[in-house]
Amino acid sequence: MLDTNILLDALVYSNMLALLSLSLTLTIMTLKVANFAHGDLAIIGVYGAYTFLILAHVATYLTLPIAFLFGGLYALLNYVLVYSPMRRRGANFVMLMIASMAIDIATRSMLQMYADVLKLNFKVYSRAFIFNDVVFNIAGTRVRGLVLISTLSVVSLLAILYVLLMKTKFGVAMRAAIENPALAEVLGINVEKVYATSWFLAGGFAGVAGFFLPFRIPTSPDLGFIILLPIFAASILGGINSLSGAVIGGYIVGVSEILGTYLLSQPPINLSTAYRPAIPFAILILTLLLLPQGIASLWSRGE
Amino acid sequence: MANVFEIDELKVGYGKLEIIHGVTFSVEKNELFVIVGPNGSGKSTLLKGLFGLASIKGGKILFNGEDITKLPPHERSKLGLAYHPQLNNTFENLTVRENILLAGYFLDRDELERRLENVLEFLPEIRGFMERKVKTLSGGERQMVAFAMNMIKEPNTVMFDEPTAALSPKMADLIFDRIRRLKTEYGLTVVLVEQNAKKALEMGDRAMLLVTGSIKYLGPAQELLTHEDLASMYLGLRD
Amino acid sequence: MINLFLLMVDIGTMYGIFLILASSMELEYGELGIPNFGKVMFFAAGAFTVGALAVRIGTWLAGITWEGEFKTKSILYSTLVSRYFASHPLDAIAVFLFTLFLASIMGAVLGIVASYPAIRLREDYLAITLIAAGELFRIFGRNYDPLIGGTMGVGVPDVLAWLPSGAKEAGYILLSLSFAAATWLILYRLSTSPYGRTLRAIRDEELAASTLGKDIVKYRMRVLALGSAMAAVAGVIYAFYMGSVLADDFNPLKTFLVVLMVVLGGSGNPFGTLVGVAVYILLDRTLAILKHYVVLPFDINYFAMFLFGVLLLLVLMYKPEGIIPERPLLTVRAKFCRREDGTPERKLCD
Repeated sequence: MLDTNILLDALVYSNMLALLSLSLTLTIMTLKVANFAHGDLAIIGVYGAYTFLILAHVATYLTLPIAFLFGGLYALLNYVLVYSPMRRRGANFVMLMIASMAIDIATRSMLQMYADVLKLNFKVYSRAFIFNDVVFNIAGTRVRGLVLISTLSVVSLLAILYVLLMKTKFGVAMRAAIENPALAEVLGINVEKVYATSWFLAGGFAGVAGFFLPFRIPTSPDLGFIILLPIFAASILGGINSLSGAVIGGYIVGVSEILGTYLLSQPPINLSTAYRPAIPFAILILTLLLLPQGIASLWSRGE
Repeated sequence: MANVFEIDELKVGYGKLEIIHGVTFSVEKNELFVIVGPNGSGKSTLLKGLFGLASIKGGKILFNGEDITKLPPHERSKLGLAYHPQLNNTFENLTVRENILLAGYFLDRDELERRLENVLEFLPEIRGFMERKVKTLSGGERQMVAFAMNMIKEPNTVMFDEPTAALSPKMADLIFDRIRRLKTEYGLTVVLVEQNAKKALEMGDRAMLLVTGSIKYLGPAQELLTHEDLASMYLGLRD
Repeated sequence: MINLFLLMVDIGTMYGIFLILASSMELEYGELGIPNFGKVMFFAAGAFTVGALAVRIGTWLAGITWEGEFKTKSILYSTLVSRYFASHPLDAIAVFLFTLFLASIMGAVLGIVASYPAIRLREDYLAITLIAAGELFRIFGRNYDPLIGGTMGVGVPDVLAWLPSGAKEAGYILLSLSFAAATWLILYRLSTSPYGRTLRAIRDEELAASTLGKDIVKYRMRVLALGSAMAAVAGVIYAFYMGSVLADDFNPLKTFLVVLMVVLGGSGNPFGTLVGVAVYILLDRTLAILKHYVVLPFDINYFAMFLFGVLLLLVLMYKPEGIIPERPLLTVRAKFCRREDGTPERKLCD
């Protein structure tokens, strides 16, 4: 019934969602407000990589670090230029939220303008562009590059993050500053620097996730907003203060969305795949109604 | 004689609100200085002001001869002043070991290990829950962690804000015992704000009675304990 | 000359439509403190009602039998209906009033439904829920052809076809501005009344307000119902003015623009709403005119949106109270004691 392609697609999509949901949760833990421009970080990352690809003509996968860099730097800029000053001046919850929407609008428009410029100057597809995949031969089996690299990326990034947070002094300071910035400040920890670093990391993760988008679907500037719903659903399902929950939430939402869309589009339901967002929406509503603290509340003793 | 604290006409508050209305007092070296008073008198605010966590609206703070009135908390900490707040004094989602590591963030590994050994001598109970997350600990255990976090910094002066609040009598006695030993065995200077006036005044050298932001008594602690009017009016002692 | 006239008509009509939307946002966010980021959904509810029903009712009234698919034929039939309306003004007005009435109900009902999450969720969860719901609404409109013609959109007959050219355009402005004036006056009256004070009390200090015995849930429900009905009315006028309804037109960008207008103008002050909409329209039309004179390597519409995003950001960062700030509540005039020499003390007398 379900062929391997669907399952592999679910895996790849979930890999991306896990990274995006994890990074969104990271920014929410520092800012205490949801960031509506988060999806755009992924698109900034991929356009950065794409530009490099156009200019340097290297193998596609080699531009993955560029996506990380662009995503990370843009997120850092957002934090340093907008969110941090606003917070210091006492901006409240709703104002920060509206600010993130303004940043979303500005970012998407900027990407649109950039896409126009790109097309004009380089005569390339700057919207609905795709990356061509390669096939690896691993021990006799043919594995699609997308499956291999996206999974490897997620695993290694998660491992690096875990080591950073749990085994390094800076990581402990990060967790402390996120939990109780006032106390951390008193102990002499530079909370600003810690927060800025977490935003850079979050942006980088999002950029990497964005990098994989053109392998699956034609990528355009507005894609960042379109994927926002599943990202939020995954973060909220995971529990807004849990990084591990965010990752798990990413996989649950990703698999549900791909499998669900496929199954619903089959007879007898024959639902158009355009209604795909209904699945993460349903997950979102159910989570908010039934388990508002997310699945992380199932194993943590509450905060 | 060099005093640890010379406070001159100090006014402390939050935002537009002034809570401490110009107090003048000093704290001598190696004394156990007790601050008592009814709820809302501003005891916590005064300590926060001394550490730099509330806004100073006037006056001066001299710490070991140095004017620290405008210094941020971290800088005051470097001069050897430690502050044990009543609430939010630990990182609940981190382990005890991680909390202590953060308190000694700027020490190198060996120095931290050495100091940790000393702290564990002083607070041996902590050995039992070093790897547990603070939020799984009881109230008294948490206060000990906060205590340890300050001791790691090897301060010369420690200020406590109601460290035994909501603790069982046994736990409270333990904390009081350690605080007393800071003075007697380690030669530190201690400022102790307490709601449990009787016990604190019994331990203290000199005491200050704070009522709605002003000093109503400043002198030997035991005398305040036995003072006819003040003790009953403000401290609920003597019947 | 004609161009200027049409420009004025466009500016006037759009000002009215946006003023209704901004007033509804001001009521919900500026007064009650609920940022309704699903605004476009309620706007769409009104427009979709018109799109789905106007041409159908029109053909029924005109006695025209419908042949062919709704999606492909709606423009043809709406033109026929417009011709019919040209000689049957009463029927035109009837269609207008009927769709208006229905749309307001739809909007109000949707608003009440939306108030359930609005009460329980914190603002950012509410926002993503409403945005997502709005997007699903739009996707439905886009994919379910019988509703409003799917990707082709639907034609809307001209309900003012019975007016001569010139007067007709003026008719649209008049329609739009009168509804806008009515809506704004409702906002103003509510804002300056004790009801408005209660709303702002709930906004600023919910816990305290609830202890005063105010049923917070009921206030929220009523405000959202009213605000959503207002937005639906704006959608109705918009649909008739445009002469067509296209699902993709109702995207979150519109909500963003309304938020911009309210924040820029000054939230918490009805006069701010008047100013905010005006500033937006001015900037928007100026950019549209500039488009003809400047050659840029990118589409100027994107640049316009970029500027609006940056503008909102700048307002939030440097002048969050907006152009016309909220007026602080005057309760009791403070009396300061005077010393013997007449200089005022720094504390209050009793």
